[in-house]
Order: sequence, then structure tokens, then C-alpha cells
Amino acid sequence: MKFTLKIPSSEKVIDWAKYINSNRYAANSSCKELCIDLDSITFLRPYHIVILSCLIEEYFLKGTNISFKITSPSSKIVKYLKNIKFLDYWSATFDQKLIHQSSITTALSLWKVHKEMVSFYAKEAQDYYTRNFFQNYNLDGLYVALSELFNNINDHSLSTVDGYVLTQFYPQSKTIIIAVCDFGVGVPIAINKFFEKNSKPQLPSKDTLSLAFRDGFSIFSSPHNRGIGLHTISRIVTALRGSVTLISNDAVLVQKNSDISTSTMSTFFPGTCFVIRLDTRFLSVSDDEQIIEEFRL
Amino acid sequence: MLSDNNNIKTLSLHDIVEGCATNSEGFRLFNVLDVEIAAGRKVKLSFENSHPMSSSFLNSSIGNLIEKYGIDMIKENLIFINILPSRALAIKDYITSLTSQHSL
Repeated sequence: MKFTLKIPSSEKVIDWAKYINSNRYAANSSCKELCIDLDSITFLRPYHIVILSCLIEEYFLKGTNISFKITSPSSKIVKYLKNIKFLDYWSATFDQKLIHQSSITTALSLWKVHKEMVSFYAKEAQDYYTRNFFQNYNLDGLYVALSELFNNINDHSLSTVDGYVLTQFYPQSKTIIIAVCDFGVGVPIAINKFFEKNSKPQLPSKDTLSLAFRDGFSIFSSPHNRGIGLHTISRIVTALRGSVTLISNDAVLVQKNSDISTSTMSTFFPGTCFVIRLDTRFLSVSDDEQIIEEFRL
Repeated sequence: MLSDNNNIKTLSLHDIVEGCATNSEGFRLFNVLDVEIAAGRKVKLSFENSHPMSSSFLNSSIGNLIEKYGIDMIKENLIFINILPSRALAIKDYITSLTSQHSL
């Protein structure tokens, strides 16, 4: 059975959450061919692309053939999707394990997070943007933020599909956007399960998100977790006067500079989506030439 | 390994791990350093050509060493060499965060 998936006409996360919920594989399990209708799209942000990629991946993992309906191949958006390898990603000949060269200088190609290649991707991203735009600046924060996000998926999410990542530099606003999505258990559910196991009272979902960002809070999904990862992201964002939007289950956290606010969504997002914005005007100058010969704790 | 003598061993981080992003990479470093420290040797760890470090990497390597031997023993026996100021600061911040959470 062929199933055609139209892209939402709204940019809003809440509409995308509703869209994901009503189009997941479980609701269309007789589907043997999934066609993504790209004709009506007028925009796609990096976070839309990673959310959509996780949805497509669910079908792909069940053996569904993936195709795209495109009547305007020369449109700007279709060209962009081609450049970041989105249109090739689920074809039989495409090797998803590799990090493919993007055809544009402002974005790395879409990537399905592979546990064994996390360091490689993070370094590739750091080197790519350094080479193309920031040769005398320190992009360690990008490497570390990506690593923390990938470790979050691998250590905590129990995602049914591997996560997806897309990074994009916007020269006009001088910002790097990182969008990472998984269809895992979600932060609120994971934290409240941990509390239940430890006979502690349940928290409202939105409170679990701010707790997850607190230095030293961990649910110890792995014995070596110390609750520093999301706090590290928060620090990087503060240093680069950027923002984080975290959407997980029915809660949203937004950090702008160092101010954190949370809210509740009226619909459920099946996993976790991070959108991180780094303002590159605040990157520090590279210290590559200032090597310390000996450093003691 | 860069050089060796009875009491001090010089190791290169780049030779031990390909990256510094994951727990498994951190554990690889921990295992190498653990052998040396357990044998009573000081380690000079070179950061030449190394990557930035995630919190998971630091937890599984330096964090685990501090947990096993205590901060004073690690201060005494682990020396970082050829390191960028920003990476030295990242280690310092990590240790501060760790020691403020736990009495190690």
C-alpha cells in the first residue's frame, strides 16, 4: 500500500508534533511505499528536516520504500534538500553510515547519528565551519555541543530510530544552527521514571526540563553519568549569546543567553528535539598558537 | 607512547583515542592511565593534535580516575603537556564542577 505524506504548512512545533503523531508508522503499518510530497513546501527549517527524517526513518526501518514527489526540481528548497543529501538518504544505494560531503558551504549534509562515529562527525563539523568561515576562531563549542547531544541520544533516549542531525550556518545573521532529533522516551518521561524508581514524587514535565539543565543532575542511565552534559550545552550557549530550544514529550524549554523559561505543550512530542543557535560574532579567537608546555591541576 | 623512564611515562592522547567525545573513548584513556598510576608512575599526557573534550569523555577518563584515586593523587601524578589554554580551562572547569558536587 502506498502512503503519501504531505508536509505541514505551518512552521510551529506544536503543529509538527501533531503531524508526527498522526503519521507515525504504527498508524500506517500496512504501508509498503511512502511518498513524501514536497510540492507544497515553502520553507523547511533544520529542525523540521531532522523531525521529518526521524519519521521517515521509522518507515525505512520497517522495509518501506521511500520516494519523493517533486514537480519543481529547480525550486530553492528542493535544491537545498538535494545539497544536504536529504533526497538521497533513504535510497538503496546511499550509505547512511558515512558522513557525506555537502554540496554547499553553509551546511553539512544530513547525518543519522551513528554511535561509533560521533567524534568523527563532531570534528568534521568543527573543521568544516572553521575552514569555510572561521579560520582564526575557536569552534570547540560546536564540537562539544554536538558531542553532548549525541551522547544524550546514545546514553538516555532509548530511541526507536537513530537520531538525526543537521547543522547550518546562516551568513546573514552569523549564526550556526544545530538541530538534533530522536524518537526516544523523552526527557520528562525518563526523569519521572527515575523518580518513580527512587520513590520520589513526580514532577510536571516542564520542571523536568529545567532540572535536566541543572549542573550535577543525572538519572544515571549509564553509571558514569554525572549530570554535566546539558549544563555544558547551556554554558556554551551562554558564552556565545545564543539560544537552546528543547522540545520533549509535552514540554518546551527555551534558553536565551542565560535565561531559561519552560512551558507546557497541549500535544505530545514523541521524543526529543534540540535546536541550538550559536552567535558566531561571539566566538573567541583561536588559541592554536599559544600551547601551554605543562599544565597541572 | 612518546618516551619512558622508571617513574614518569609520557603518553600522547592522540595515540590513545581518535576523539574525545564519548564515554567509550574516555574509558580507553582511563584504562591506559589507570595502569600507569596503579604502578606508581607519574604520567605526562600530551594533548598535541587532540580534540576538544565532552563531559562524557571527561567523566569516563579523568572523573573516573579522581573517583578511584582521589583528587590529590591525580594532581600529583597526572601532568598535562602541550595543551591549548582553552582545553586546560575546560579541564579546570570540569574538575571545579565535579569537586563542588562531590567530596572526592
